[in-house]
Amino acid sequence: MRRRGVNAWMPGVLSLCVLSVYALASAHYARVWQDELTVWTYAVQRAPNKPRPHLQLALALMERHRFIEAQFVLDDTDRILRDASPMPRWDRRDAVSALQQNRLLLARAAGLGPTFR
Amino acid sequence: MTLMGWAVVIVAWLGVAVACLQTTQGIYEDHVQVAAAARRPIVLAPRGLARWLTWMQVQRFGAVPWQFRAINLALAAIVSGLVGLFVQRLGLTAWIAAGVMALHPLMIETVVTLSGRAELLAAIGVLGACVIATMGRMRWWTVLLSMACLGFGVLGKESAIVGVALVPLTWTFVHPRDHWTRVFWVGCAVLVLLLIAHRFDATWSDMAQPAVSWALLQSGAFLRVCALAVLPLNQTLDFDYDALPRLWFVAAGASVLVLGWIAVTAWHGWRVLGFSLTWILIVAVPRLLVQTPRSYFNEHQFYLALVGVALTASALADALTVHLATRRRVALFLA
Repeated sequence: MRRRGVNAWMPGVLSLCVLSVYALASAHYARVWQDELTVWTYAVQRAPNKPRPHLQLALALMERHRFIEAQFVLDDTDRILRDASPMPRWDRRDAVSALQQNRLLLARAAGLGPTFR
Repeated sequence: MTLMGWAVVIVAWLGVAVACLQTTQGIYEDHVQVAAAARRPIVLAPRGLARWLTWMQVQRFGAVPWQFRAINLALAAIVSGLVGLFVQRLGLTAWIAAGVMALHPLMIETVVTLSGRAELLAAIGVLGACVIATMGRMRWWTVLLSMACLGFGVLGKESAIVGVALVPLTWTFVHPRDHWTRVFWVGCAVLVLLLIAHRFDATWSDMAQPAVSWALLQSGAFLRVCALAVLPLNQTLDFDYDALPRLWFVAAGASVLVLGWIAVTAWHGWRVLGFSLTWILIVAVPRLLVQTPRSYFNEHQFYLALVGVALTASALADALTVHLATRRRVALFLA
């Protein structure tokens, strides 16, 4: 009798366990999406050689007036773009253009001259 | 068990919802969506409904980030409810499928971004049409209702066009012996692909890639999201596909073909599995053909395919129940 009960409940209990794990993972991942800074910091950790997350992270840092860190992130982007990492031509072109734009934004936001690097 | 299952799913969903609402800032492309909605709020075109809903919300309550997410969560709850209803009508355990749809980490990207709203509306339209397709035989009014639901979905997002193939697929599953339904379903699937190819042809022309190269790249991205559907580890919104070797994409392309073969053969043995896999592939395959170079196959694009995953999970649990019951009966017989 006890064994029949266990057999009948097992798939349901297993499903509940899997769903609970999914729920915990979802709650954890939702915290990553709290704001621009958390989401792009996370994205940079996951894709350290991709320009776009770096460029977005630099923007998020600038929004919070963390200019020095933004400068470091933009320098990292510059390094990635100079490396011979494989990337579609238009992706590289867009990234270079966004990098220049972000550098100008940073210089303006930090009250520095256009020669600031 | 069913009652307890639903209770746990609802409580867990509330927990996830609270986690999603913890935000102080519009995120990703939210500001772009708000600006687009302000420019042209009422448009009878793909994404028009999503835009109108955003415009309406900003007009009445202002651009408050957590409220954007609250509306998305409400829409996601409707989707989960529809999945539960759909799965129940197919004779499977509803709470497991609804639970997968409501709690799976792959839905987070859709729920927390304003651009994900279009995906949610599309899913509501397609699932509404599929639920109607499970209501007995095909009649003129069910066809009309299905088409109205699909129209609603397309106004949410153009990707809902895959519903034109998903609805006949559902009919085929519910009425397996109807030959003309099968013919209709195959015809519609071809039509869908042609329509999509026509609609998006020449888009992104300056970034166009050779078709095979694009299909392989998308296969790799699709396979990664499929793996995340089973084991959601290392999720990210911007995966670095350029870092992967070419061979990996070739293997991914072959894997997608194998998945297609399994889907076809499973229809003769385990029909639910065949149905679920075909569902997932119908949602994914147009993206292997249509080039959107700035957006490789990602988690929010998998949202409608997640229904197939939910169906599979439910079918697996039911099969396990049947297996255990049969084994016990055999044991009793032998004893």
